[in-house]
Order: sequence, then structure tokens, then C-alpha cells
Amino acid sequence: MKLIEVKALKKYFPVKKTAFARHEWLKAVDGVDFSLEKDRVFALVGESGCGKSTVARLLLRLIEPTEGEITFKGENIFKLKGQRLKAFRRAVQIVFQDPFASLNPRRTVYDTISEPMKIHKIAKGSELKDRVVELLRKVGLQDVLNRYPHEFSGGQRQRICIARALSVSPEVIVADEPLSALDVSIQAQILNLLMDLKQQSGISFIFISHDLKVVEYFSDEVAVMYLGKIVEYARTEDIFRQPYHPYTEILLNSTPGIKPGTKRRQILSAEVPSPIDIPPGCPFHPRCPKRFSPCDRIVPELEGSGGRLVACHLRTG
Amino acid sequence: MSLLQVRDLNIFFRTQSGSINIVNNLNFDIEEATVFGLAGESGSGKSLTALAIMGILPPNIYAEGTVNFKGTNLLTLSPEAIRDLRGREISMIFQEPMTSLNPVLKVGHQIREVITTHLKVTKKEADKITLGLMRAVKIPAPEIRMKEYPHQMSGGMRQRIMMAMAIACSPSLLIADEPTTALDVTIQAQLLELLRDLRQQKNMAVLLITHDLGVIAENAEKVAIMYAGRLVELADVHTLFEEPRHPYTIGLLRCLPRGKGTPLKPIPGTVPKPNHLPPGCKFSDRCGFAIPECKTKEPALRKIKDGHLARCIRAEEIEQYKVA
Repeated sequence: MKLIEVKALKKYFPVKKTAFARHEWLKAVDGVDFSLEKDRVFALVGESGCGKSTVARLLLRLIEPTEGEITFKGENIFKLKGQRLKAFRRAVQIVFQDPFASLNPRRTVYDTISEPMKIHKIAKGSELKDRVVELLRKVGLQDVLNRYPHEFSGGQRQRICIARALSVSPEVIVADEPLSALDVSIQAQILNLLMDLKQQSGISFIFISHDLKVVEYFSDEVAVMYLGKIVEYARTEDIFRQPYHPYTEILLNSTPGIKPGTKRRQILSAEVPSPIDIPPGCPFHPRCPKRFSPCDRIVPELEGSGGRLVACHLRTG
Repeated sequence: MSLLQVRDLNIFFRTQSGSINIVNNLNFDIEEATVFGLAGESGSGKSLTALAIMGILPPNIYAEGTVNFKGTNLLTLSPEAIRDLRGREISMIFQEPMTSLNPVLKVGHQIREVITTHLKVTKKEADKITLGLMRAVKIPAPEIRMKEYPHQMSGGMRQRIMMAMAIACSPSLLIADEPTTALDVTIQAQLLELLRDLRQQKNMAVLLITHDLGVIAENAEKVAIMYAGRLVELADVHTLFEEPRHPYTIGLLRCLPRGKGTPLKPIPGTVPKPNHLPPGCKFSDRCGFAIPECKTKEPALRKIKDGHLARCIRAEEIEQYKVA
């Protein structure tokens, strides 16, 4: 069953150039389609500035799109109102990257975790307290109800953020780089916790990350984004076994392995172009080692079959 | 003789209720023109070690012991003498290039300042050297870029500017403290390749500090692993990754996801605070191999074989951990 479907989603931000010139547009998300099935983990990967966090904010309806729609269980989330909007807000939760910035420093752990349940009238009184204790136990914390965020380490704070997301029994959790602010040993702890939640609580995940090793481990499907567009979309095993898009290949190649002495062969020459001034044709062509004649003129479509899609003239041409 | 010899280095944090020992009896050598990797999680003391070598510890933190660089103890040098060495013989690049560059000065000016401080050259010559350095770190269109301010550049470009400043006087030792942590993997790969090239051209030694074991595996020749202010294992890079003997090193390697299906075995608990360290072995409260003896007496850093040291009384018993 498709829980979330994203169709032709676009988000442009206006950028003022000079006082008299008209707006230019920063195309943060420029026509993205994907879907999340129930009980699955869908990963969005790409370099900073590729638009993955903007997609996360759109998925939560924290911002409105320029064009396109996102449906949750068949309903367009940007048209929801009243009780239905409230139900959607409950069903889709987020865990942010920086647990130091996403907890209110003046509220105790109990306040933070109980608030969503009060808002959604899930529990009150002693039942509320029992639920908070139970949620904290689930994420591996004990006897912390009346403590404040500054008393915790990064990993523990991220556990509190996860408990807060879980408090309203969501169906989908959008995790936006949930591990990248944490130390290696703590990353593995949190990753195991997310794994348990996926298996036991039947929560589906949209997992946003730049760490390909983690994505390979945790996700079922992957979309690689580049300058606001999806350039490759496939099952995780397929993409890691054989990437089709040259950009995916280079991304995989750029992650250092833990075998001493291995040297990487492919290194990208230039940097990501500005999303205000996206190159014509294939957006990746100025950095692509395999570019040929049509690449700087014609935008490749995301095409393919059997669940493997790629936007590259090498594959379609 | 080694280029840099660190002997019994202790670093203390001054507080109202006395000093807290943050880095404890550190000993290691860096040979000329080699890459020495220093790895560990945040709070392990690796960055403070770098700051102590550079002589730029914050006022409430002080170091004891010796840091011999080409035979001179850096810790006892006068501020003037060490200022002369910094930038010329030893230089450093930091994790966040935005906060280590001056936002109100053009980048070309900032590179030139290193040159005019340490070398007797005319303004014109300094400009020429600046351009050469910007080309050496592969900044496109350096004539234009040198007139830009740091905020006009991307993170990767700023780190290249930092590298240009660091290599301006061809130092013998470059300290790179998490040089690529704030950057994307593709830019990280570019910068590490650049670092390898520059190191060979200039014949520099590099102290590479990072929490990323992948970066260490690819770039370092010798590796030291730090935990709670102590060296827990020291070996050449192949030994460390192929036959690690300290449970913490093994734990770190097991934390890295290696494809679907291989279960992750995280290290339980968190890194202890320097004022709340457990008695005995500092890792004993998180260690799966700990026996009662571990909790009473702190083990010494001892030789396992030539060039391989580990701080664990059970190092020989620990089954060899293979890197898959």
C-alpha cells in the first residue's frame, strides 16, 4: 500500500538580486516524484544543497509547494483542513538532525514528551505519565522525567526526540539526518533503535542522509537527488550493487572504506553549481566524467523499468 | 630522530575546585614526511592535543610534559619564539573554515599575511606567491578569487584557502583537525586527494585528527586511538584495522554499517566526562571483555608486538577481529 505519494513536486524560493531587478528563483525542489510503501524505509541521498531537507519540510507541510502535490493515504496534504489536518499532523512526525537545537532547553523531558499527547488528547493524568515512562523505556532512557535537555549527551537527546515523535503513535517518521551530529559509537546505537522501531512498531520511514553506508544498511529504496531533481531511483540492493547514474557511482566511490591502503579512483573535479543558476541540459553534465553530445542541451528524463529509474542519456540514449 | 616527540603530555582544565586532567600521559612520535592519524570520539582529547602542540590552548587549560619538535620543547618556548614557529614550521587547519577565516578581509589578503609575516619579501613578490599557492590548492580563477571574501566561497573553497595559508611557508608539520568533517563526501574526497599531493610535493608530515575511521584508513600510515584522554591503541594502519587488540578499537570498527544483514554491535553507554571517569581501565564500564581486575587497576599501554601498543590486560585473549 502506498502511504505517501509525491507527484511533480516543486518548491522555488524567490531570491532578490538587486533592488530593481525582478525575482530570480532558487529551484530547491524541481519536479520530484516518489512514493513510500507501508513498512518500508525510503532514503533520500545527495550532497548539501540538493533539496533533500526541503522535501522533508514539504512532507511535513511545514512549507507549501510551488507546484505539485503530496498525498497521504490518497488525500492531498496541502488541501487538508481542521480535524483531517490534525490527524495528518499526528500521523507524520519528524526527527531532526541536531538534537541540541530541536529540544526546548527550558522544558523537562516530561513536558517535551507529554505535550504532543495533550494536544492530540491521547492521554491525561496518571495514564499520561505512564505513557511517557513507557516511551522513554522504549528508547532506552530511565528515570529522566524531570531533567532538562542540557543534562544529556547528543545521543540521549536524540533518543528524547525519537520518544517525542513516537508519543502520538505515528505511521510515518521523517528522519532528516538523524545520525550526523552524533559520534560513531552513538550512531550505531540510534541506528539499532530505529531498526527496532521499524520492525516492532510498524512505522515507515523517510530517511534523509548523506551517509551512504547508513543508507545501505537501513533503507529499502533509495532516490539520489542532485540540484532539486531525482537522478536515480532504485531498490537499495540494486543501487549499491550497480549504480547506473555516473553521479551515484561517484558518490559511492567517494565514501572512504575501512580497508587501509585503498585509493579511490574517481574524484569529482568541480563543486555543485548554484541552484539559482542550474546548468542547461543534464544538471550534472559540467561535473560528469562520461558526458557526451546531448548532455549539455537536453534534460534527461527519469526513465526505466522494474523499479529502476535513472535520468541519464547514457542509459536512455 | 623523530620530527615530533610527545612525551608524558598532560592537559588540565582549571576550575574553581582544582584541576581536572583531560589528557593523560600521552606519548607518541611523528616521523618526518609521514601521516599520523589520531582518532577518537568527541571529548577524547584529540583536538586539545593539537592545540597544545600549537601552543594555542585557551587560557583556562594548560599542558605539562614535553613536546619536542626538531629537538626544541615547544611547551617551554617563549610566546615570541613559538609565534615565529607557528605558520612557518608548524601550521594547522581546522574543521570549520568559516569560523577560522576573518570574514572582513579578502582571502588573498589573508594568505598574503602569512607570507609577509614570516618571509622577507616585497608586496609584489608576496602577491605572486599568493597566486601560486591558490593554484597549488587548485582554486579556479585565482586572480578573481583572491579578491573575494570568505562568505562568497563554498565550504570546500574556504578549506582550500585554509590549506593555502597552512602550506605558505612549507612547514615540516601540518596539523589537520577534522579537515573534512563539515564537507560533503565528494568534496571530502577532493580535499583529501589534494592533501596527499601537497604532502608529497612539500615533504610535510601530517597529524590527521578525525573521528572518521575511513579517512584514517585511506590516508594515515600510523594510527593512535584515543579514549577518555588516553591513548588506548597505537599501531601502523594495517595492523590497526586488521588485527586490532583493544576492545574500544574493535567496538568502533563494529559500529560501522557494512551492508544489509550484518548486525551492528554498538558500544553501550556514552563517553564518560573527564571528572567522572571510572576507576581502573577507563573503558571498563562499556567493555564487553571486562573482568573484575579491569575495574580496579588502570592498565598500562604495553607492547603487543613491535610497533603495536595496546592498553588492555586481555589484549592477547581477544579473538582477532577481521575487517569484513
